[in-house]
Amino acid sequence: MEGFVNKNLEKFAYDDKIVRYFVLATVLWGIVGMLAGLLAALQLALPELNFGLPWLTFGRLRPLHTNAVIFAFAGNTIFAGVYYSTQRLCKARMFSDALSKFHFWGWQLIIVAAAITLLSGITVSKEYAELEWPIDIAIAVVWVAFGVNFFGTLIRRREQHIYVALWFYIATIITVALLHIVNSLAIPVSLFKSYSVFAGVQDGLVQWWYGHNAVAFFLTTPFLGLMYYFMPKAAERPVYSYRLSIIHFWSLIFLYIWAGPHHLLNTSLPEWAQTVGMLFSVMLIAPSWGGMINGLLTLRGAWDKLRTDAVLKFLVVGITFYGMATFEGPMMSIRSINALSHYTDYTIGHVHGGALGWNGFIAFGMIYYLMPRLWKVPMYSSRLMMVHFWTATIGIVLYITSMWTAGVTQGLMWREFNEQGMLQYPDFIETVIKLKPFYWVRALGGALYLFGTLIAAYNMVKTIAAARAKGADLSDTPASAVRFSVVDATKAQSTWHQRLEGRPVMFSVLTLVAVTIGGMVEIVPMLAIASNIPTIKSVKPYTPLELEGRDIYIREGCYTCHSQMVRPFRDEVIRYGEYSKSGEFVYDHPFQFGSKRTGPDLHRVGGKYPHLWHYRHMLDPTTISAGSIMPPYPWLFTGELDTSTTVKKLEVMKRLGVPYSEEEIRHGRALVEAQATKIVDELIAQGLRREEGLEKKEIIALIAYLQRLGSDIKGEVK
Amino acid sequence: MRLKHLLGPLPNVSAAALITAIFCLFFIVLCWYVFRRDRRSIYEHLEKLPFSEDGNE
Repeated sequence: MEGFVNKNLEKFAYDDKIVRYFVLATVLWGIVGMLAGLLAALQLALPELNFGLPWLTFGRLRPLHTNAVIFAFAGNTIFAGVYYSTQRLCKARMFSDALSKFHFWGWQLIIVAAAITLLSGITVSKEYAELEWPIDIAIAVVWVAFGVNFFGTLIRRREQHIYVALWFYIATIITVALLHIVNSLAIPVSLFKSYSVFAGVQDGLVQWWYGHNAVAFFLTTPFLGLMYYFMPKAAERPVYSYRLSIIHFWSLIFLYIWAGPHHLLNTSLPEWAQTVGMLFSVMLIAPSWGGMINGLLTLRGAWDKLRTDAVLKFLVVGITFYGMATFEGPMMSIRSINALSHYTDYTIGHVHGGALGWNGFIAFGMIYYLMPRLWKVPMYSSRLMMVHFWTATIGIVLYITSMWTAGVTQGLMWREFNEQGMLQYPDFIETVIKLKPFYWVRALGGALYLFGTLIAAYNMVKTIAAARAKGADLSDTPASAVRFSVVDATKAQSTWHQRLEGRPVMFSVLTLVAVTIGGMVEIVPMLAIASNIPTIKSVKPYTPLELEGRDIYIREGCYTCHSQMVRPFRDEVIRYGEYSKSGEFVYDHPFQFGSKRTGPDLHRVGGKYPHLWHYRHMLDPTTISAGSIMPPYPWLFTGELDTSTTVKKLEVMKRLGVPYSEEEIRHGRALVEAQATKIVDELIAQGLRREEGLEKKEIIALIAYLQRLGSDIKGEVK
Repeated sequence: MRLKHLLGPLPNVSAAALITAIFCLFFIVLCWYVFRRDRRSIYEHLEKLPFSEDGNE
């Protein structure tokens, strides 16, 4: 119920303990996630740094890094800030202490499960949604608990109006639930394996509708909410324009949802979908910069505070990076610019400007604001806060400038032709070798940023120790407030938006409507209108052995370095072969387009090299390509292929619409053995020494898959 | 280079124009409603909400 007819002053206390827990978890996971990122970055310059271990290869480490920094570091940041500000804006303790604890411990357990499974190669291979279905269910349960706790607090609030920060939290909770549920739809094969219900370009569209809106509604809207609360509090002045915040909120949440297709520009995604994504991405500059202006101009008349206040330094520079990233992103969403930047390190530079600058700095600004208030003592060292700020800022600059330069270098080298009309750099390895110096600079930038985080952790530990030594009273902060009267509220003069703010349920419904429209317009036609994906008759399902090989490709995270999407550009067609058609991917559950080319595109690699080439390449890439930074995969040559779930995999694929016959399914394992024996015979004929049990090894399955890639239409290309 | 070449072909120009016009109109109306001068005092109250707790802590 919203409001009571009761004018008595009510006394209560804010739950600060849960906020302390989330703050500590934020910094702990920040260090873990950044360490994983630093190791991954160094591996691109020194592949030996996986120490020959399957758990530490780049393909498995990169998803650990992204999940740790997004869901563990940024996630705990969000929860710390939401729990602190929501209680104070509502003038109410959180709805349920039990739900708060369940949320905290549940989330940390999910993070641990993610770390173990991702390094083990248990992955769905959809970016920022790699976790397998049992963990997806756990995420949904914990998220619902969070939502119930949050909305319960809103409904029990003593303050009538829902301040703008809370609107952003509402949008976050509702939209993340929607995105997670839709993109995680899959049919399980076993406890640790499932296949996406979507395939090919449809899966790509759903994934990047999710993926970009993970950025929008996990890395942007909750942080904007934190900005709207903590910036005024730190600056000791109200937000620049409350009215601008209304425009900002509604236009942002409506427009953002449409932007996903900008991750698939110049691919085989239908052109109308690409154009819609591009248009809305460009329009997104307006609300994004509206928010940035609102945040920065909150400091109007008090810019001198920046000189001495570390909290404001972090918040202001964070908002500035937000402005930079939200200008750069729309520019990169323009088709012709994207043609140069896509698959290059430029995208990595863009992402890290936003992640390290916007998310990281808002997180640290908030943490430094909260620490004295939660532990009731001043920060141990203001000087260390400043050292952290400058170290991290220099780190970001080194990171993004090296990646911008690397990205433009890559893009230009790939497309350059000589006077004879041939590719100037026909060997992909030429671009890889050129980029190594930039990888070292990027690693240095990342190391500096991590160093700054370690400084913050030290400062926090010393602050907490000081609080303990002082015997600081860490009991919950007492508060009191008069519960608002719904009778008085309706009598008061108010706008329709104010009345809306007083009704969180209606506000939430309208938010859901606003965020659903974009997804419906883009995804429903892609699923319902067959002509979006023209049928190619020669495209057939993967054989059982090829399917097993594909699952090894997914397990090892090959998609993190290799794309499978030849774009319709002259340089790509010459380098790789015929450009990729949407109808070629209809049986790809999940899609493997990739979003980065640290190595070459693989969509037309099928039949390009003999089996023995792939055998030697996977054993030690440098023997085939001198200077290669791809790590060796020796465990594929010793590990036996597990065919215990082959039949089940085929059954699930059939349920998903892949036309396997009953006979193929029934004889799945026998077909695996037969094709593996044939490949081994061909390897021997090509000069490989026969080895006992070779046909049972995983490398044979992977070779089968790689040799199949892009080969379905080769007979049809004129 | 013309904007049309940068953006690529649109499947149905009139539908796209209509949707764009509707959204622009909505945005203009929203801006006009929000920035009306007679609502100023109400927003001045709302923007101070984060500070209304300060007497309690």
